Amino acid sequence: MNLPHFRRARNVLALSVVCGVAVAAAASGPFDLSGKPIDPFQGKARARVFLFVRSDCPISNQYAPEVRRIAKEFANRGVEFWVVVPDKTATKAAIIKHMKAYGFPGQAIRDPNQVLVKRAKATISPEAAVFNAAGKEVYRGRIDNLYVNIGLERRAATTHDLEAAISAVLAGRPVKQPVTKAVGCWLADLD
Amino acid sequence: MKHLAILFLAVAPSLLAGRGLSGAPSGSSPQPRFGRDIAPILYQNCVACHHPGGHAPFSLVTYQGARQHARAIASATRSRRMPPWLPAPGYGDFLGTQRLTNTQIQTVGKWVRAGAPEGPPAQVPVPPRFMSEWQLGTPDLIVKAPHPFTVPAGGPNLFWNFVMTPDIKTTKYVRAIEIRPGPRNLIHHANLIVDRVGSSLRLEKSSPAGGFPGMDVTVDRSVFDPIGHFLFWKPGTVPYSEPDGFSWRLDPGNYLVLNTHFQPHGKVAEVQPEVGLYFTNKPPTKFPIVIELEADNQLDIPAGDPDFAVSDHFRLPEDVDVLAIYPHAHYLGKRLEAYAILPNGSRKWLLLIPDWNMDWQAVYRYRKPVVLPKGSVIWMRYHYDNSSANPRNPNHPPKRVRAGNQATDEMAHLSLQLLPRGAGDHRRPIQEALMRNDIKKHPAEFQAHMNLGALLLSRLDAQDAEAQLATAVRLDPKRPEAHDMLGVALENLGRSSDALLEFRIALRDDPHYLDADYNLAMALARRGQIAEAVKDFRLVAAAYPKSALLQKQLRQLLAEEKAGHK
Repeated sequence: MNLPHFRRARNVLALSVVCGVAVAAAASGPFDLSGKPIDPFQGKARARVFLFVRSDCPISNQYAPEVRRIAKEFANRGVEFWVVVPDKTATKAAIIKHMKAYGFPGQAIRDPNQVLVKRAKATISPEAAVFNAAGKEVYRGRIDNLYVNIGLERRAATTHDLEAAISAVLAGRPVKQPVTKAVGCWLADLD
Repeated sequence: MKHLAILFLAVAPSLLAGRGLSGAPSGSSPQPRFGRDIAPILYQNCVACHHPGGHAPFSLVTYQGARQHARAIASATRSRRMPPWLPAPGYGDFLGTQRLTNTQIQTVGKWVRAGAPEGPPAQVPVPPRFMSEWQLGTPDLIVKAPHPFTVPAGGPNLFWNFVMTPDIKTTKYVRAIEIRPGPRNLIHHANLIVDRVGSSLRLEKSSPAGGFPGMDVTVDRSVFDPIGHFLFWKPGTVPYSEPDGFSWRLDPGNYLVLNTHFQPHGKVAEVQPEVGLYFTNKPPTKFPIVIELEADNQLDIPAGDPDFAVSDHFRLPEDVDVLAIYPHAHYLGKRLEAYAILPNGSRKWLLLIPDWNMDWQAVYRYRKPVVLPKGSVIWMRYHYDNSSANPRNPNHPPKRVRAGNQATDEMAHLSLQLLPRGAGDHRRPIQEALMRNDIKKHPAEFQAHMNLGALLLSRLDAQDAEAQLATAVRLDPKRPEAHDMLGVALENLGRSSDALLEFRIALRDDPHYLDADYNLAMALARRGQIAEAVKDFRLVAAAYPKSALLQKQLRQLLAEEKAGHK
């Protein structure tokens, strides 16, 4: 299901006095860590990367150094990194602590009502979604192919899907494999 | 950090009291519920690791915890990746088997598809109790790694060896070990190796902070003191306590090498494990021996080969009980088979692992010893997949792989703990058969001849010993210990001048080789060359000032020297 585009949602928000639905949409998140609704699609970016994580998911924690490496690679090239926390129970302090402990790059964003999750069609932690400058999702899936399945992993990844997707967006090329299978914990298992 | 352990004994009654031990839904309600159907499965098979503070990353003790991972549980159990238990059922009956039945797996799947319902909370059985102390009680001695090891945040699994020095003044008999690995989640498994001669110090030299890398460790060991026990630890199991009579010896000056396997977990962690030793005052009365079959020399696996097989076998010279088995291969290992062909031609399976996973390797102890009569032939047959279809293949694209102890090399080892039948110590015939087997397999290997020579010499078969030791010396002329032992064999055969020559060669190659000094002194004394003998003997006695025997022997020599002068 395609949810309304955020920018459009904000425009509708201006008419919120007469349109309750749009208010509800904004009130459902996502939120920044202080609890304010935030639109991550606002402003200019050549690409936006959303990484969906559960702090209790060992596979997504294990990926922190790799995600950091990728973020560093694309630093100062107009790529925004967002770490999306769909867990309703995660507090601001817990999110900051977790981000710091593992050194996740980018900005944390709370998505308790899974608005971003649904928009990106993400199902797994860790799963990445890449949106182009026009706000279109051009990649969704694994960071790389280290994990074949839960309990079956390679010694090292042999494909670097997220990295390739970002490079493609920046180069204005189509992403070769726009959807891949992520392995980890299910977002739907959250409360 | 406090380490959590489990009171298994406290768990068992509550599980047995519960209705749903099999996990099968009862006939009255086909829809599985957490309390009645799922919790008993988790409590019996999962929570030993998956409890708060446990070795696994999340807890499955409460309904909340389990529901938050419901789909992952269904997926991991369906693929049988969890619980991690490699042996196929029906090919050996092992203690601590962690294998779900098909019905249990279906029950979990059904529960998840139904939305993971809790059901009446009253139906949730009493969960196992976890405690934060040593599982076997306070150890008699706790030995801590002298230096921490820093596990990086990311990268592939790695292997590190900690060298520890137990502070004991007298010989101790150990009945159990427990390992507290430090931060949870990091150590997959660990092997403890007793280094009686300090060879780990040599290995440690390369690393200034102590410890050394490597997936496999070999320490020097006297042929008269073979390894008898598996000192293996993995998370989530009750530490193994040796039965009465099976204690093992720890002498002052012995080193303990803790061989560990780590998986990086996203953040840097320091690990400084502790080993708890539990003593008994009963010296061993049972003398098991760990034998190793190996086919490393056959390992030359072409790149891309999806099924490369190697094998080894060993004919038992005695009736034995097989107590435990420990297979070992690296990441290309796929199907691991171990069985015995009995003298009547029938096959008795010892172990079958259809889909080997190095990361979950373990020692498997038989619930009941497997009796193998003399003349049985133990076989190992391992298959390797060096194709790119093997996700664990460390080389991408695949490369030719040979034996070695790095993760990118391969290995083909099968260790078995055998207890020769009958009272007393019956290890020698097995050792001798192993050594002869070894020579057959590696006719040009110095150590094979050296070992058999030493063993033959110990039972005063100087003639055969001399032949083996002469071969050893020919294969590697630069080994003082071989010249020294050959000298002893020659001395025993009455070839005194040849013996003196060998001792002197040993001392030329290693002027500090005290064994050779001692043997030379004794040989000289026997020839009546007392003054020369005293010179060598003084060196030895000075090196061991506390040895009453040496001091006494020196006094005797000096007295003889004095008498000779008169």
